[in-house]
Amino acid sequence: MDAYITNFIYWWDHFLGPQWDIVIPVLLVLTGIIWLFGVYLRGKFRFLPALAIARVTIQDSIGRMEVVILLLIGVLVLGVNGIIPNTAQGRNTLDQWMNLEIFQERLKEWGGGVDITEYETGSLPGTNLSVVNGESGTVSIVPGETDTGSPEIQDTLLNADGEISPDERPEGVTAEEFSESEQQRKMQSLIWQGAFLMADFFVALIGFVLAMVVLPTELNRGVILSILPKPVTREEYVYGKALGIWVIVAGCFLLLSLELFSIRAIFAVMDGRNPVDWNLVKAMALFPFKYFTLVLIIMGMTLRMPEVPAAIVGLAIFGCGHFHDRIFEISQAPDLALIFKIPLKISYWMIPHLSQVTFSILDVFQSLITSWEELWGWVWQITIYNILLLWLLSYLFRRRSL
Amino acid sequence: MDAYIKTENLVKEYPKPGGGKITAVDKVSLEIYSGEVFAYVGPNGAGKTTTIKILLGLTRPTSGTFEIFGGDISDREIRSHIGFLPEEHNYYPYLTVDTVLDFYARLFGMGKSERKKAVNEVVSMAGLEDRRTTKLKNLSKGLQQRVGLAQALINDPDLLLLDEPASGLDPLGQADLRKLIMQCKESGKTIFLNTHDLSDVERVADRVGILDNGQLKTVRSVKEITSTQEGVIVKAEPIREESHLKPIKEIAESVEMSDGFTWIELSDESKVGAILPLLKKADSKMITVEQKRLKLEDFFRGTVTSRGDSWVEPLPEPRKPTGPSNDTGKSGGEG
Repeated sequence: MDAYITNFIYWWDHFLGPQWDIVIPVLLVLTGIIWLFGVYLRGKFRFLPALAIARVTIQDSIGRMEVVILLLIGVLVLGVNGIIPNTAQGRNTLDQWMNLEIFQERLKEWGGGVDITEYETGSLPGTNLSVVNGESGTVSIVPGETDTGSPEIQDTLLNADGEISPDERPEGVTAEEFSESEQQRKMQSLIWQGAFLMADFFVALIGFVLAMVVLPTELNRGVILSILPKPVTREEYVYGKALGIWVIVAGCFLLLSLELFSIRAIFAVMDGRNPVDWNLVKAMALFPFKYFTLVLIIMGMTLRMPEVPAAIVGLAIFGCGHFHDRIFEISQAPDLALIFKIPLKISYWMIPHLSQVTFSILDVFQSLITSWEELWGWVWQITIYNILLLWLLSYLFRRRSL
Repeated sequence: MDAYIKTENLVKEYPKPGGGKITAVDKVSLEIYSGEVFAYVGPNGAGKTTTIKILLGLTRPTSGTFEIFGGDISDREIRSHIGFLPEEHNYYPYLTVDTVLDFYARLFGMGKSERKKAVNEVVSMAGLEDRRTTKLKNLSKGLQQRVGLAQALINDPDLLLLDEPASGLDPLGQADLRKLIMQCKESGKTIFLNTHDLSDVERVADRVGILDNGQLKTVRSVKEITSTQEGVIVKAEPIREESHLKPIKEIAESVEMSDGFTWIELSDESKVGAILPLLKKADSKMITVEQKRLKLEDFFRGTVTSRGDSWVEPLPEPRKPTGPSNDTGKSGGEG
């Protein structure tokens, strides 16, 4: 059997080559979509009524002005966030961060893959560092775990493909030791990290509020009673609502992103740099997928409990994404009993680790998402999550008595 | 005649907060025929709205079966022939009348020109021509109810279910509503009217079903209930002295004092002549002579035993209770 599988994989890999990593996810996503709309919702879903409901949801939400007000605040805050750091005063404020960031980046260059995830300035020499992966060329150091002074670790560090161990790092590195353009580049990077996180915060807030109130409002006020007796299925209604909220949220993100890109482009042109950062564009493409997940989770929760607890639980589930990798690590432990391993594995797949996307934006500037393949790797996982959530949402709504 | 709505032993139970069950609808069997206006009346909490929700597929019955147009309500084709005005007429407050109605038209898959035509028609029918660009939040309750009626009629339905359509309407609005219902009836629509307003029922309904404690007590023809009976009722100025009343009582079936008048029930109109000199002697004057009729309200009070959710005061004894006669409805539930 093993030989058969090995041969099959070899055959698959041999003929499909580098597409291997693409084909399986594509098939998974397609299967999910076909199953949801072709099998589970067969005869129960048509796009036109769903689009009509999405449309009226957008019109109603915009008419309420809450969205518009939040968006305007976001535009103002982001404008300030984008412009002020480019002033002289903003530069001084950012110097401290910049020194830290540049130092970390330079250290990474020296260490050939050294990744210092957390430290305080001045505390690095003589601090406890641990070698997470001592293989040649991919040395990673994480503080606080083991002593770099041990002969074994020193040896690993020194033997790492012609790189320099942290002990050889010059003392008291500051930004002044780096070129003006390097400082400028790093500061720009910091500015945009902050700005995009701020944009994300505002847009997620809009999505959070809308998703929290959209179904309870219509259920409590009885609006739904005039809609569902029409030739509209519950699936069309609830998907239309989710789509409407998502379009608003994605639209807000697009608007704020355009603002940020415009400011960035202006300063980039003034500095004689390329006005478009494609890595940034790739990372931003992920955000709308993430918002859809947030909307689906919170809407689903509001079908089972009042708005506020639903929103809190929804956010908690969404926030579990931060522990996603940790759950995976624990589930991989060889001694772990199956009774724990199986639920952990299921949790690993079920818990939306999409909130990681937000935090990965920080890494985007350090070239986390450098290729379209990387982007696709995120997209297909998020899409599978969203398909499962769509199913769950329709299942819960179908069971709801009105 | 075809039965547009047919229910058999429909039951809906809800769990009680402290355990046990509440029966909102109890073995309701009903048939509504094409072209008729059927009034579904009962005290608050009798189960009227729950019945409508079951019929529209908004909630599932605990047991029993029902058919709309001989089929399943989940069928899109069947739903495309139904119009519904819910009791809670909340729509999208930040949208204009035109936008809201256009949205409802979209749900029927209408094209642009078809939608425009449908919206124009219902706006005209509901008397909302000069409010088309007004946001719903700026409309009075009565006007919002008209928007509700307009959305219920947007698909020119064959079957119209109206849940408390007169709520929130002023007397003029109620008169317009009655006119609208009659227009719909004349155009061949079947109307299921869920209402408290018995005077409306008398004026527009063909048949009435009385629901009490979830049970369908009776289904009767409105004409039959309110048909003229033998005898007359004389309304006269009050007569206080028993000595004057005594000779009148000898002639009359009954004599009562209520609402500041003396009401004299005579078995025959010819006896009016004999009463007149007695009234004169008692220093009283005859005000009106009316043919004896049973009012729907009296029939309702005689049929319903519960007081409903909102009836705080005990029911007064009806002035002329005659009680319900045998159930002769085309179909009926229990009671």
